[in-house]
Amino acid sequence: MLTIGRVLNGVFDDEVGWRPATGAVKPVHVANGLFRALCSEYWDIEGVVEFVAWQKYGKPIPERSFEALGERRQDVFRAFSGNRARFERVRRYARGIVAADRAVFPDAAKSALTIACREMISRDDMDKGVGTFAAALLGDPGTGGSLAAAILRALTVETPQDPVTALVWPLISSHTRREWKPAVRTLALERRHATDTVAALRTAADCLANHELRQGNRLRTLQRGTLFTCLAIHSHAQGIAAGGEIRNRVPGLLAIVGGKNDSVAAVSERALDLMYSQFESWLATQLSKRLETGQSLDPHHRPAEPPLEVPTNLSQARRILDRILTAGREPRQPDDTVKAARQANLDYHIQQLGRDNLFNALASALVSSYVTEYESGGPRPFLQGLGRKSGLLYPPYQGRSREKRIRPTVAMLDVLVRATVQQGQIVPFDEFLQSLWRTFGLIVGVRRGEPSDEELLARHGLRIDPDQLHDNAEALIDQLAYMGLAKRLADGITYVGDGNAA
Amino acid sequence: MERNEVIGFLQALYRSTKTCADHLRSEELRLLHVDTAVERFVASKLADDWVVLVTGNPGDGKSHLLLAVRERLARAGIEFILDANERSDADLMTFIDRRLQTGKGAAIAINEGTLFDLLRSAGSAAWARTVHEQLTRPLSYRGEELDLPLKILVVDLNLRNNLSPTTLSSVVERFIGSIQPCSLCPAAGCSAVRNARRLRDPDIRQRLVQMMSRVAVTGIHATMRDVQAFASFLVFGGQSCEVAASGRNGNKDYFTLAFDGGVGPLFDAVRRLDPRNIPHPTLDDRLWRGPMKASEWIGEEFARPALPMGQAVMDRLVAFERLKRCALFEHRSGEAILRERHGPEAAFERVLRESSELGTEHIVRRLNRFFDRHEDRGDSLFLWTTHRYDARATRYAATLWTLPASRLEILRPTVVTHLKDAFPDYYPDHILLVARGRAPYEGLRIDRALFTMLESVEQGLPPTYQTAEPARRIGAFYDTLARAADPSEGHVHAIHLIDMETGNKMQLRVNTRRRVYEAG
Repeated sequence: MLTIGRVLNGVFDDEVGWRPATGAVKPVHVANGLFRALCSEYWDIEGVVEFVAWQKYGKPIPERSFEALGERRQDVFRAFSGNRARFERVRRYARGIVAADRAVFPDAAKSALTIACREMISRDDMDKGVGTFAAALLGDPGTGGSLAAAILRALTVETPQDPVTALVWPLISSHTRREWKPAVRTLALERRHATDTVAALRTAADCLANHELRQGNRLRTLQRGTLFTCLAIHSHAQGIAAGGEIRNRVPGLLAIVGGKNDSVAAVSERALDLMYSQFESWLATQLSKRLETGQSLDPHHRPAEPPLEVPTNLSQARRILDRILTAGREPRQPDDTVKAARQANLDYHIQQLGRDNLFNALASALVSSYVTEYESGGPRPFLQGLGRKSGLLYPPYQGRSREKRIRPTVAMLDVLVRATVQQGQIVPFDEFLQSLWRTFGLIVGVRRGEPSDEELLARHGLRIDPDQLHDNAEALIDQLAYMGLAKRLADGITYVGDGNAA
Repeated sequence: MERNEVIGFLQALYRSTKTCADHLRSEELRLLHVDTAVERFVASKLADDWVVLVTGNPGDGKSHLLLAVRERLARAGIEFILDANERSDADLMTFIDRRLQTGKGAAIAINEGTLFDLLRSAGSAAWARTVHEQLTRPLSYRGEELDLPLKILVVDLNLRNNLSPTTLSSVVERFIGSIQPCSLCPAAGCSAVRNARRLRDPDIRQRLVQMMSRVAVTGIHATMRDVQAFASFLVFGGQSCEVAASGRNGNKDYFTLAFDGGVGPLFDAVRRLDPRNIPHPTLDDRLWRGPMKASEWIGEEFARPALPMGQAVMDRLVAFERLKRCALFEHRSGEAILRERHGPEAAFERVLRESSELGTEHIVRRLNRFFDRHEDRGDSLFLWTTHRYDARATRYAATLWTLPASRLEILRPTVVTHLKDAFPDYYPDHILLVARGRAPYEGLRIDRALFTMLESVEQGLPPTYQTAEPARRIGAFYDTLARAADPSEGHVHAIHLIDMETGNKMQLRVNTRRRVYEAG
C-alpha cells in the first residue's frame, strides 16, 4: 500500500532525478553517492568503522574493544600491543579525521566516511540519488577534461600520498570491493524543464574540471567536486521550479554584507523561501499530471506500486487521501486526526484552485500532507540542509532560526569562481555576475543586463535600497580580493579569477 | 593667479575632484606639478618613438603626467591621448597599430580597467600580448626580465611611490611655497600661514617626510591626489579662509591635523603612527615633567603646547598628547618615537624593508603555528591538511610531509628591469614565500593582512577566531608544495595528527606496503 512518504517518489525519480526526502542529508552523503556512481563500486568499510566507531548509544561495543580488535586483527594492530592508552588515543584522532563529517555509525553499511580514496566509499544511500544524478551531470568519466574524470582520478590511489589515506591504509582492503549498479534516474536530466539549467551546470562543471586538472591536492578536488554537486542540486531545484525558464527563476540573493537583521539578509531569506515554495508548487503540478493520467506514484518501488484510481469527483479524491498510509517505519492507516488534516488541506486547495482543478487540488493536498507528515523531511529541509551544510547558506548549523540566507563560505566562493572563470583567466566583475546568475541563479544585486538584478527582485516582490545592494557587491569584491580571487582596478572596475595571482 | 585664488585652489585640494588634470588650467597644473623620475622616463621613451601606455588609478596623475611631458617634448610627430575613455576600443586599436607601423612615438593615458577591456577586444594582436604580459607581470622577484618584442610599453603609475622622500618633499615644498597671508588673514596670520611657516623649516619638513616614508612601507598606495589632499589638510585643516578667520572651528596646528579629522585611507594609515599610541619612556617623561628648554626643540622661535600645571590630570593628559604629537616633528629626539613602534604592523614594515630581517624560518614558524599553537620549529614547514565536506571548520588536521625551510625562500618584489628608471622609489606591499626553483606565482603572497593575522596567531589567537580567507590562501600554497613534495622515503610514513582545538597532537607510523601500523 502506498504511504504518504512515497507519494512523490515517481515525480522525484522521473522528473527531478533525485529524492529530496530527508533533512538529514549531508555533503559527505553526496560525496559517497557521487563517488560510488562514478566508480560503479563500493567497499565494505567495516574495517575502518569498527576502529573509529566503538560505541553504540554511548556504551562500548565489546567486539570493538582494544582486546577484541587486537585479537581479531593482530597483523594491523600489533604495534599497539600492550599499549591500550596509545591505541585509544589513535582511534580518537582517527575518528576526528575519517569521521570528520559525523556520518559514521556502528553500522558500516549506513556510514559515510570522510572519503579520501575510493576504498573508503560505502553502500550508504543517504544521498537519495543525488550521487547518481550528479555523476551523469558531471560528464563522461572516460573523457579527460570532464569533472567526472578529474574526480575519478583523484579517488584512485596506488599508494597513499596524503595523510588521510595513509591513516586508514591498514584498515581498508581491496578484497572487499563490490560492484554497484545505479538505479536509472538520469532521464530527468533530459527533461525540457531541466535542459537549460543542466546545460549551464555542465559548462560550469567543465570549467571547474579545468582548474582541478592543474592543481595538486587530490583531497581538494574531491571536496570541490562535492561542493559543486551540492550547489548544482540547489540550482537544479531552482531551475525546474521555474519550469525550466531561466528568466523566471526566483533569484538567490547573496547576502555578503551585514548581519541577520540587515535588509539584504532579510531579502535573501525571503527569496529562498519563495524559491522553496515555488519548488513545492512545481512538484504538485507534476504530481497532478500523474494523477490525471493514471500513472503510478512510485513506479520504481519493489514491488511495483499500482496506479491510483483516477478521481472524477471530490468524494473520490477524499477517499484517496484517506486510504494512503502514514509515513514511518511501520505505516498504518491514518487515524482521524491525520485524516482531518488531509481533508483540511484538500478543502484549502479546492478553495484556492476551484473544483474544476480537482487534480491540482488533490496533488497540492498530497504535497502539503507529505510535507507535514513525513518527519524525515521533504524538499525544503533537504535543500536547506544540504545548502547550509555545504556552505552555500548561512548559518551552517540548524539553530533556532528557521530562516537561512545565501552567504557562501570561503570554500563555496572558491568553487563559484572556479566554476565560472577559466583557470588562469580573469574576467570583469560584471561578466562574473552574469555567469553566477546564468549558471547558479545567484545574484548580488548590482548586475545589469536583461533582466537586471533589480528587476528580478522586483518581479518577485522583493525590494531593497540600491545603496545596500551596492555595499553588498563591494563586500563580495573585498572578500574575493582577500582570498586572492579578485583585483580592484581603476574606476571601480574589478576583475575576478585566479589569473590575479602574483 | 591672484594670491586669494591660489589659497582657494590649494584649500580645495582636500576632498576635491577638481584635481583631475583635464579640469585644471595650465597655471594650476604648474602650481601642482612635481617633476618625478617617471616623467623623465616617459619623455625619453617617447623621444625614442615608443608607444607608451600610462595607466594607474584615478588620481595617480596620468593625464597630468602626459600634459607635463607634452610641454617638455615640443617635438612634432609625437601624439598624445590624454583620456582613453573618450575613444572607442576600435579607435584605440587602430591608433596603436598605426603608430607601431609608422614607428612614431605616442602616449596614451588609460585606466587599468579600460586597458584590460581594450586587450580583450584586441584579441591575439601581437601588441596586445606584450601589453598583457607587461600589465600582469609588472614585478620581478628573481630578476626576471620581460621580452619587449615591440616598441610598446606599459607604465603603471601604481608603482610610483608618491610618499617617497624625494616626491613628498617636492610636493610639500611647492605647496607651502605658495602660501602667503591673504586679504582675510588677521594681522598675526591665520593657522594655515603659521603651519606653512613651521613646515618651511627644513628639519621639521624632514621629520614629516620621514614619517610619511614609514607610512609608505605599511603597504598603502597613495595616489598623487591623496598626497596633495593630505598636504592641503595638514596646512588648512579642510577649512576656508573665511571660516579660519572667524575662528569658529578653532585653529589647529599641522601636527594635530596630521592625525585628527582627515578622511581617507592615507589619513587612516598616518593615524597608525600617531605618537599618542607609541610610548617612548624617556621622551614621555621629559615632556610630562617639563619645563623644556628652547634648545631642545627644532625651530626655537615657535610656540609649543604648554602643559598646564596644577590642573586635573585628564586636562594635563590632553595637553601632553598634543605636545607629544608636536614632539614627533619638532623635538630634537622626536625621531626616536617612530623607532619605538612594536606590534604586527611594525614587524611587517621591517619585513618589507629588509626580507632578511625576519627570515624564512620566522615565517615558517608562524605558518606552523597557524595549525599547531605549540609548534616552535621554524626549520621545517609542516604541510598540514584538513579534510571535510561539511562547511564547518574541521577540528583535526594531519600531515604526511614536512618541507625544510631551507627549500623555501622569501622573495621581495622589485620593478621589472625595463621600468627601474621610471620608479626608483618603488616600495613593495608584500613579500612572497616560495619553494626554491618554483615560479613566483606559486608562492604565498604575504601582505599586511596575512602577516598581521599570522602575528595574531603567534600571540595566541585561537583557531576558532581565525577567518577562513587566510586559510584558503595558505591551503592553496600548501597544495602547490604538496604537488612537488616527496613523502618520506621507503614504505613507512610518519603521520602527524593534531587536535587544533586543544593543541594536542601525536605521531603515528604506517607501513603502507604491509598495511600495518608500526611502533614509535
